Amino acid sequence: MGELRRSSSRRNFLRLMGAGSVATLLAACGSNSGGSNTSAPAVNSGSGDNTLTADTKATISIFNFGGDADKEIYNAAYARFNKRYPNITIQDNFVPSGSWSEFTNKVTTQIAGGQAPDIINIAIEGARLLISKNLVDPLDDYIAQDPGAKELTDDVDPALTKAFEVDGKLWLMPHSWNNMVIYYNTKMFKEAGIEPPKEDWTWDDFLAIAKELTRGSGADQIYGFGVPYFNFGLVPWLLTNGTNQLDDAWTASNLDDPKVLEAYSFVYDLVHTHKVAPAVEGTDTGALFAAGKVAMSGWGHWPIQGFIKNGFRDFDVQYWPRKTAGTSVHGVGGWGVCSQSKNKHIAWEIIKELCSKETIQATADAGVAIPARRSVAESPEFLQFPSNSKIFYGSLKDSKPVPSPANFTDVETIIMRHLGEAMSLSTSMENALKAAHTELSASMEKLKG
Amino acid sequence: MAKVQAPSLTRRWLANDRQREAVAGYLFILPTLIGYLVFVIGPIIAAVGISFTQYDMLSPAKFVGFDNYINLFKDPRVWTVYGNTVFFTVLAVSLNVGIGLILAVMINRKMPDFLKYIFRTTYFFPVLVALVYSSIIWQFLYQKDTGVFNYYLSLLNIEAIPWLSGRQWVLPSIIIMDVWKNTGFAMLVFLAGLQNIPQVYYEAAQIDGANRWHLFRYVTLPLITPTLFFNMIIFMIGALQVFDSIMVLTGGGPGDASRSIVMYITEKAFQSFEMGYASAVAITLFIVIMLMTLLQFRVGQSWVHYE
Repeated sequence: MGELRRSSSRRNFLRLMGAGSVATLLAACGSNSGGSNTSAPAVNSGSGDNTLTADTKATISIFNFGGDADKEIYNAAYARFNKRYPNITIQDNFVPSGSWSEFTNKVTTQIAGGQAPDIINIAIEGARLLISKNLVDPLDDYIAQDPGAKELTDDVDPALTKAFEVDGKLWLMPHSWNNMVIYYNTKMFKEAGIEPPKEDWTWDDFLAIAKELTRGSGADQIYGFGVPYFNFGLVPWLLTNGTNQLDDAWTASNLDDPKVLEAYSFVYDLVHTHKVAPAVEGTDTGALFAAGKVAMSGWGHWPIQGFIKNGFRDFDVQYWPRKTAGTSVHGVGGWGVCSQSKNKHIAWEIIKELCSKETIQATADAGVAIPARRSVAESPEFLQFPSNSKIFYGSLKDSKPVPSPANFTDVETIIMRHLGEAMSLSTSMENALKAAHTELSASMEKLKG
Repeated sequence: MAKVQAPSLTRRWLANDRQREAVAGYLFILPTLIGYLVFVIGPIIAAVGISFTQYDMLSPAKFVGFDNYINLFKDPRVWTVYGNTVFFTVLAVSLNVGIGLILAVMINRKMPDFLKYIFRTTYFFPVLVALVYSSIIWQFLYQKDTGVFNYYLSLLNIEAIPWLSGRQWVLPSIIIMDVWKNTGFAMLVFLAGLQNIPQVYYEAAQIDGANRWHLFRYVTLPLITPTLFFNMIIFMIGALQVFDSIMVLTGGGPGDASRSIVMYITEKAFQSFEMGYASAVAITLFIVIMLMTLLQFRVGQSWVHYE
């Protein structure tokens, strides 16, 4: 269970991972201009006299994030790059998976300490902070001047690049992404004689099924649902109720919207009123799901490999149940060129290798995140398991990015702290959201100032 | 001239043993002193400086005078997290030190050596386990609906206890784990102290007709007061800075119910990037720890007996 715990279930890990992008992996983005050539192609990207040749000498440092599998994939990508440009040394400061919020905080602290890298791997949750502080460069010029870039950008869904567009410019190149879907235990459904959930199922359908699956007591207690209790995992309830944590521009708190209260109250009721889900605090939902103790839960693509490794394959996925809207949330991870880099054109060239089809395919095979490149995400290998895997990329058209203003970590901690008060019965959900709205509004105000 | 004077100067320095020893002494403490200045005094001075600014680490700092300190007194969260920290400190120190002392006294009596080793190792073992691992296991034990403790309580028909989700339960739960984890360390220090008590005192007291309680109360206890004092100071400073066990077990929740002052400082500094405000809070903690340590030393004079 060790691996499963690590990769899918620990509350902390999930919460963070969930933050969207978990992603991690690099995956997908672009194509490799001149890529598979072993002789060094002379390329010119970026501005100025930036022609790269086999003799170009430089050291490039990268701030990177992910699990062990990712590290191997990155190293293979660097090896391919070094075949073409043997005199460029790549230093990958690899931070093992924790969460994107944690990683963002670490990166920001390090840059503040004067240790800016050349390339940065960052998720949507941290992107606006870096952009607002001018720590990354827009990529538009590199793309415009690089004929090989078109193939890369054409293969990435606009919904993903849009997540990294600010002021009409593209600041990061998406490599992978994640969303939230419902996982359900196929065996438990079958044994209970319940049909697999339909694509357009509603909150009511969901609740009825959860109630039907909840049974037993003491050590035999089985729950219909395990709440994905982290910010990213809770946002789908808001979205499927036609609302969100912030306004559409991500500039003001929307927590005073009655629909927000309705959505979070629904989650509260699952635990406290209907008792179809165990208490959220300290619950290892991934372990309970794999052990057949909860019949449904929610994740992105990230726990699948862990489940398989632990011999658990009795599950499938379905879209999030809807109240007023059929939708879900997504988070995107991307590569950026740091504005303080002295070798920006080389950095861009490496980013293309990290987004090459080969690298993306390797990422998809490792299976943690959903590749940003459609051609890979829709490949038979990626869609093989679980059987409804098409909904991962399929959900993108209707889904929305997790609200990620520059003060994202504040947004996340404020909301989760106050929700915690309500979920633990210390206060009512209404009061918790009122307090959260006041605090979040102050934080959003500060952002403007 | 230089040729003549230099050796004579050297000779004069080297000639005096006392001076030579003094120089050697300073040279020996120099590395520690430099380390102390660079890694302790330097950051403290920097923190004091930063605490008068508004500073997000990415833009230049802006001087704001005492604003951070004024805001700090108006911030209800500061009072909550200080309250939690003090509650935790009082209970964790008393229990860790108290139970550690009891365990040490129980082990420090005549019994076969192998038993002694087994007991000592058993009680000390949790100290050696990485906190993150043990916290994950405790989280599993404490879970309200699927946890081990509540399962056994349910067999006794006792209603499930919200160990980690109940406002009034969460800090005691963390303290229980903390005591399990750390009391072995207090025990080990006490054992060392107990073994330093000369046997003759006990023999003399026994000749005077002392019973076991008398021996403990009038011989053991007074003679281990320096150890007791040491343990109290060490555990108090550790408890005031508690961070990782709470971080893993509850993340500070529910709400702020189990958040400690150091967790709050970290949140402000490295999540909200309010370095100035975080520094101001850190300075208050520094002052609190200093005052409490001084107080302990002052009060200690009346009850700590050095031989």
